[in-house]
Amino acid sequence: MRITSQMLSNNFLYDLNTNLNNMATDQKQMATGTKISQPSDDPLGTSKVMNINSEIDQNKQYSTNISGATNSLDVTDSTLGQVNSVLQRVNELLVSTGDASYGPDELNSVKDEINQEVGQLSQLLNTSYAGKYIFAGTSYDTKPTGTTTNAATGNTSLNYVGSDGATAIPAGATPTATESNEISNINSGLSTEISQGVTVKYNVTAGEVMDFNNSAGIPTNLRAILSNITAHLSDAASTTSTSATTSRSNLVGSDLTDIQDAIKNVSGVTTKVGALQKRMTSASTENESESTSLTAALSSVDDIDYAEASMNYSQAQTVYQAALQTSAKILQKSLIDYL
Amino acid sequence: MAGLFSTLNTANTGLQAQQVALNVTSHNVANANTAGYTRERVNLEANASTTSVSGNAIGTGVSVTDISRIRDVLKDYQVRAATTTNSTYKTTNDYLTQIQSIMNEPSNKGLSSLIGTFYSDWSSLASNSTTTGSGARTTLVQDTKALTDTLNNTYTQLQSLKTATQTAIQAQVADVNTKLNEVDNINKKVIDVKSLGAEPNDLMDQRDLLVDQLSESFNVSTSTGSLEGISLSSPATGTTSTANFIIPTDANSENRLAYADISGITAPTTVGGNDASCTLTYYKNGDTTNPANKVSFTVTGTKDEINKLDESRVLVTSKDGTALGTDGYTKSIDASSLTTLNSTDGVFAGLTTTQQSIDKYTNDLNSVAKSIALTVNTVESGETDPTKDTNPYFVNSDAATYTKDSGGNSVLGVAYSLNINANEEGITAGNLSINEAILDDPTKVVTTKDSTSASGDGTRALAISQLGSLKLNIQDMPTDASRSFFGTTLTANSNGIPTLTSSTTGFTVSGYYTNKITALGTDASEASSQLATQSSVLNSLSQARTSESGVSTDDEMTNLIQYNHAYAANAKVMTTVSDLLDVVIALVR
Repeated sequence: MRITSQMLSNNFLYDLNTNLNNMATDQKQMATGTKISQPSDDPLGTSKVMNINSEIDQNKQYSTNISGATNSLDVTDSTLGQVNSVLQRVNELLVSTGDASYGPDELNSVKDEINQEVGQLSQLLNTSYAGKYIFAGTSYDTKPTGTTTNAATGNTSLNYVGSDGATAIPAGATPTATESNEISNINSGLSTEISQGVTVKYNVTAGEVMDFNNSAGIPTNLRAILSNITAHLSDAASTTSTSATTSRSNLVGSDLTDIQDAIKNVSGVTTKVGALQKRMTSASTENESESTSLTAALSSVDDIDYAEASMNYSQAQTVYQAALQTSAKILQKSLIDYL
Repeated sequence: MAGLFSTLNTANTGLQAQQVALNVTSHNVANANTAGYTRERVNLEANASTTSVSGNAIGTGVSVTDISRIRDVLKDYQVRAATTTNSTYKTTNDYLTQIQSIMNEPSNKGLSSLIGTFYSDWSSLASNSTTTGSGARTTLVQDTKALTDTLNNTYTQLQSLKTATQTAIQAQVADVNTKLNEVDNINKKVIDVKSLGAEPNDLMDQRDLLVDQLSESFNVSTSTGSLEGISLSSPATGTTSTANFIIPTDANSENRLAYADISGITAPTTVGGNDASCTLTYYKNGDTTNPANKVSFTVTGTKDEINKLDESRVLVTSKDGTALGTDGYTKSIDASSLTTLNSTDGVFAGLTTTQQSIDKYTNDLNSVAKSIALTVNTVESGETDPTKDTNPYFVNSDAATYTKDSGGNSVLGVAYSLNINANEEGITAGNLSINEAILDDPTKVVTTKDSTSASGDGTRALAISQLGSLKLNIQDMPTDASRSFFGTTLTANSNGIPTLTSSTTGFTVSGYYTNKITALGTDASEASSQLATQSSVLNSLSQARTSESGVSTDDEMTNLIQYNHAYAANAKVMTTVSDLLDVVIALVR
């Protein structure tokens, strides 16, 4: 085949360009650390990378949700422990009123202490964490409970509080529609998504602590129990009351049973919280391991093996150098040099 | 005497012939690097012999029969065909690379990542949905704005690229017309020179080079006629099936090309009807300096015919610039009577394919944008009928107008709500935006189940975040889809929020987008490897042609030595004969 000098230089340029293209690709991969810089480099790989990236993002969101729920549950747990202590103290005080030597003065001081404990209970149920009242269900930017002091008896009673954060509800004997709505909002559940399609209710409401069925299966609530206790104490300490003795015996009778039922209820709720905490821990572990395996999958598709890439690059470089050197020698020579 | 003078003459013919050969060699060497140059070779022939006094036949020297071009017509044909195919792939590859950089995937700043962030923000909002002092709302609206801005931007860039391809077509048409006129001129000169009996080698080289360049633009068919004049044509559709660009015998019937600007495309009134129309404007001979050259008319036809016209934009015209099939006066013409270039390969074909690709990817982007917008709007308001939605989350910014309320926040104008059906049907990636009323006041985002819920109830926001994992039939979505495409009734989910249900045959929004990017990657990768293959084919065919027709300086140097010696030898003969003549003349004294 007849070869002209133009053919030699054309060939040289074409092959040199191919070499340089290869080197440029290797260089880009090493500089970015990824195999895929545009979809055409590896269309199937691109699809995998995009899918894995969106799964990683979703996983991160679930992780945030899980840690938010875990923190909330931890605070709930410790608060319920304190609620339990308060009720135990009330229990102790009630038992102590059984002492026959207790006179009106002692009974009054027991009453005062129990009134304080009611206030304490309300404070505990109004615990807030990260700006949210944790026992207030979906209306977590206002306090769920409050106390009202009876001017005549001086007794403190526990009650729900409306969405203005101050008014006691229900105001009358039967709650209005608005009030019922507000109470049901306080007692509504908060859920969070901890993984694809899995939502978990992670809060404890004031209602769950206060409202329960007693040992006879009759619905009752802590507000009524505590106000009974303080009323009975007032009555028992009064020198003029006719039902003083009845009240005195109720204190160690029905009131004691009620308080013990309330303690059992709180204990049950605490157990549930414990179970939820365990669930959150395992969800968190699972989430972390999912995150790790997704990252590993992404790495296997997209990350370059630096050893391999460096080898390819230096090979390409060698070929490039060889091409330059040989062509330089060949292209320069012609017959004219020898004439 | 006669003998000596005839020897002198023979030597003279020798000198002349070698001189011509030297000239040709020098011409070859001078043009060693000229593009398209074919090496020339001198053909020498011994002259007829005469009978001498002694009865022997004596030769009378040498003459140059012709100076021929060493060129193989078959190789020309092969190279031109390969050039046309190569140009197609080169064009599509260039533009697909640009489309890929516009889409900017895979990347953690691309659209895929923004879509993921958008749905995650709704999930965060579900846990932090109170209106007071919650950063989750502000984060959501700002991230929504980032998403819509990116969609708008990508759409605009794709449209700009489309305009760029149309400009490229226009420039190419102008270039082709100029080259055709040049080929015409050279053709005439070649015929003139040939009729005088000479070989117009250099003119033919120039002509061949121009035809090579023309073959980049479209499929070129050439045939050689009398006196080396060529005719050049290309396939077309419409009133004729061939566009005859160069006709040596009949210059006035030659065709040229015109770039047609298409605007105002309207759809047909019925599916498959042939009353789709557009406005076509072109300038005769591409001369935009004279307003009298502008011709404008309406074209009607089926949707496919109008689309094809929009994508190809190259009309075949007569020599004076009037489009074939029109008379320059009629204002409304049927699409089938226009003649357009119908080349399967070449730059024009590549640019047409590119426009089709850009349209396809733009439609895909629009589908993604519209799916997000309509599904979120539906679940946010709980309404599949947009007229009942008083505060849509996503709006069509082309139609939305705002007024300011006393607090300085925007309020969506009534005009938008009155025409909301059409407005939502017209949402594209280019005009999708968040309702500015919500952008100014994030507390307007509805996250609760209903008006009786407390502000901490984020169940609606949770339902919206779950839309990201919902499978929808996006692939079947028509361009004028409205909310009812995704469902005419909503079903309450486990939290009591009425929401859409998943389809078994559908895609998630993210999944659909990933799918389309993969398709883009496959197209681009294919174009790239086809280009590589075709380049290599073109390269080896070009090399074969250069091997045949190219100048080798070594060759020419060898020839130079040869002719040099021959010239010197002939000169020596003349000197010798001259000496002999001196001797003879001296005899007479």
